[in-house]
Amino acid sequence: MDRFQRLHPFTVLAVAAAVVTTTTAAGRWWLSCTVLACALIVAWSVGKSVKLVGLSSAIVLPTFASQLMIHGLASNGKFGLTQVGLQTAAELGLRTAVLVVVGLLCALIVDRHQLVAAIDLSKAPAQLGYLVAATLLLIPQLADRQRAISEAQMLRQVKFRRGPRGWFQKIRLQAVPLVLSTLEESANRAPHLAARGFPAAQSVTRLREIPDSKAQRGIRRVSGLCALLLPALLLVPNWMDFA
Amino acid sequence: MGLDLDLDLKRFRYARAETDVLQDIKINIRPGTVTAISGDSGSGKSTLGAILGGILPRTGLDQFEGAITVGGKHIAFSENESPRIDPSGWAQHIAFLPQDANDYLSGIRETVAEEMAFSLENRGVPRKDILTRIRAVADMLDIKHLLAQYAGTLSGGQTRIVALGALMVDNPQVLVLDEPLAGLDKNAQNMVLSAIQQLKLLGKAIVVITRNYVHGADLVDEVLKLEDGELSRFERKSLPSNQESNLDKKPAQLTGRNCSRVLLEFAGTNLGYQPSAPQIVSGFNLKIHAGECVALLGPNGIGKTTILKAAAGLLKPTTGKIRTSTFPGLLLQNPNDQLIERTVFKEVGYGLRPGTESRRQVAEVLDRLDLRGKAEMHPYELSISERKLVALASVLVHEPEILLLDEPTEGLDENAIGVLREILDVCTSKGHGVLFTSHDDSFVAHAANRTVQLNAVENAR
Repeated sequence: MDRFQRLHPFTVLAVAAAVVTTTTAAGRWWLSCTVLACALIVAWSVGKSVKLVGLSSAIVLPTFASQLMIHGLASNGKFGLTQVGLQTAAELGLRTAVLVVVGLLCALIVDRHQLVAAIDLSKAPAQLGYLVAATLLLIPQLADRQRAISEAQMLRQVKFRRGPRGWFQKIRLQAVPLVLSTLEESANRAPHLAARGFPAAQSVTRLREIPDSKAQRGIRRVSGLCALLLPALLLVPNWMDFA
Repeated sequence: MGLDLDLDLKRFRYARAETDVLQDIKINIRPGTVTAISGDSGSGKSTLGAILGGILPRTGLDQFEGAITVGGKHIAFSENESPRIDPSGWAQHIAFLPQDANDYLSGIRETVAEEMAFSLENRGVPRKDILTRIRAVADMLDIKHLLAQYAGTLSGGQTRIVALGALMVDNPQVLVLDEPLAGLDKNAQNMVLSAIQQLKLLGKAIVVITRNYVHGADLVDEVLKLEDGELSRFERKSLPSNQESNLDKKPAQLTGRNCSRVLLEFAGTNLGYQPSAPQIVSGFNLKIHAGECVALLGPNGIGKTTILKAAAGLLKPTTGKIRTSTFPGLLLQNPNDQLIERTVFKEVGYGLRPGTESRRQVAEVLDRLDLRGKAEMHPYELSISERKLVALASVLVHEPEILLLDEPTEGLDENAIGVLREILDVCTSKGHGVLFTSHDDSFVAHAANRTVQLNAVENAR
């Protein structure tokens, strides 16, 4: 169990929310860079840095590129690189990067089963736990199903070409069985889930215990307040000036 | 306090079906009894189980005429009246374990213990009581060692026994169990039978749906046989008694130089699904010669399926070697994992080059497996036994020189097992090699010329 498993998922999410809202409201490049560096250090400490960099790059690099196109290369109707344009693109790109990197870090360090259990055990409506469980667990289940279909195709000696054409061919040949088998599985499982009382109409109990403490509850409260108040404190003076 | 359950079924027909699946059936289930319902594939026994278990009829879809009386409460169904049953409330009294045990498990809980706790959690039972009940059931079924295991990595047999445990944790008065012993090793079978015995003594009513109720025949109070949707009663004496099958091997069919040809070889093979995780199979050695039919035996979760998947090329060994003379054909334990097309004909022909020759090959295989009449049906419309035969047909159509079968008799009725035996005989007489896993001693005794026993200490012996 890594150290983040010992934290209540809401604590991680509350701190992340406070960091993202404050950094975005502040709009300082050095603060954004510090947050990104801290996120990388946290990811490295739990052995997920490569995954975080890879996933973040897939989202952040195209975002930077689009910001550069809009503000850096084609601002004011002219096509050319300007310092102001570059600065604007970098600021907006960094803000997005903080949101993306911290969000992905949460996805990597918060265990989805812990999160669902935490929601179930909270005062949130029972249906919320169901919705989160259905959303978070759908993709792994689809991935398992897709693996089974892929194995079934390999057993029939179906070979796919290499490269993008092969990838599209694979998607085409796996999409229909994936959808049909998922629907079939859902239809078969649904009556048994209902028989087992799912989704629950009243509050549920959980066998899984979620670690929590007075200190963590305090951190969550402070983080919640920070997430609301710090952006307000940072933005209100600007709005006053604007007014 | 036990619960009486009476079913007076006039007729049952699935939505969009042209004929009734069940007709004129009367069953009285009494507390403290075990009732066996047997029948061939497609006889309607799983449908009957689902009706008793409150899963069928689906309101507004299926046609059901008759009545169910539970604990003195009469629920009448007719063409005009189809009362909606609360599945959760029903399951607290009468629980149903489906033939495909995967369907019973939620798939959204991480560990086996959480999976077993699922229904109690949804009913708001306090954690302390949940723990007590899980421990009691885990003791009864000897699955304490599985409680902390990730529920997604269970073997087929383990899945079934965990699903049964999850059902028993709910403490229902009537348990309707569809093929509860299928795919279980000897120890697990004995634990399940012992649990059934204990539940019976506690005044629970147990309905066991099975193709052939041999194991645990002594426990049964009444035997009902379904044929073409109609029910007949049998004396308990008519059941075949528990007999240890003679595992003396029949000789290999090929002799001479051909039979010395090695078709498949494992040499010091280690197998696992993740390099960092402990290996499932260590130092495994095996040679399959031409004309040989070898049974791979061992308890649930020992790695039999892993070995077959590795032989088929779905899994690479972490160390050691696997040599095959040709591309093997593999029949998976759960046929649902192997079916991807929209009709039986397309399913069997999947992967073949389109053309007249392929169509001829498909038609020939369908004839051999007596599936010609199902050619235009969707595989999901078939019974589990028929699905398994379709999956087998999709393997045989490629005429593999090495045939790998994972629990081939699980879910098959007697006729289908007969067909399977003939196919294995034909394969071995042609000089093909067969490697199969099974907990069905009778089938092993009839089909295998050699057995390989896997155990936990050293994977291969």
